Amino acid sequence: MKTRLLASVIGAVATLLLTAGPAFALESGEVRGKPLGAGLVIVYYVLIPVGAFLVISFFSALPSMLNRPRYRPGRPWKHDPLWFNGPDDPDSALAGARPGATARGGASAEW
Amino acid sequence: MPSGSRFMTSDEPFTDGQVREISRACSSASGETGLHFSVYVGAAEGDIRDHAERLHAALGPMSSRGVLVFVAPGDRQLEIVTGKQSSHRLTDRACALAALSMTTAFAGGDLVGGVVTGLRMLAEASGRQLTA
Repeated sequence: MKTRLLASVIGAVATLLLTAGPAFALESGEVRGKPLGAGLVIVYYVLIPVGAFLVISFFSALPSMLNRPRYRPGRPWKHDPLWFNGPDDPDSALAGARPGATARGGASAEW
Repeated sequence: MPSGSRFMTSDEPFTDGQVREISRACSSASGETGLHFSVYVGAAEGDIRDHAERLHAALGPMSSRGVLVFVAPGDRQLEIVTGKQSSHRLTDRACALAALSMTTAFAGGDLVGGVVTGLRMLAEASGRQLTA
């Protein structure tokens, strides 16, 4: 009777210790040390991710920043006219020019 | 005559490389055929055909053998004008074929490629320089 009581007490204590023990144990990879200060927490979890985001977005936007705006059909064309292989002085050449004076043929198209 | 001369100033729609590419296409087409190829990229004032013909007339002594390609990206219109001599070398049918090829490229957003291809097609259609 006495041994049975002793066995059950030992068993109860052992169970308690075995189940409660892991709660006090270190997590795997956990190293006890000084906690991070508020400043470092902000640096590690806010500034560095935001910085990485900004760097990546900068590099992804870089090609379109370097190129001229690409022509997109349907968008208004707000650039000054360009005349390749035109007259030396376009304004004075156009002043005396009237439509149909020299044209004989050609083609029209739309897109 | 400076090729690719800027008609006005400021706001450039093309890079320097693209400007050179179109200028080179103009001068090589002109050099191969003896015709005078000119490209105008800008907005049409009023009727595009009238505007294009006015620009063609402004080529002055070159207008007879001039071929003017008018590209109005904002209005999505293209006009090719040939002169007295150039119309003998370059039929309206050949112009229409080049125009079709150009507008296909323009619809895909490729202005420079369309202009360069169109000039090449026009130059090929008008053949080599006729002697005498």
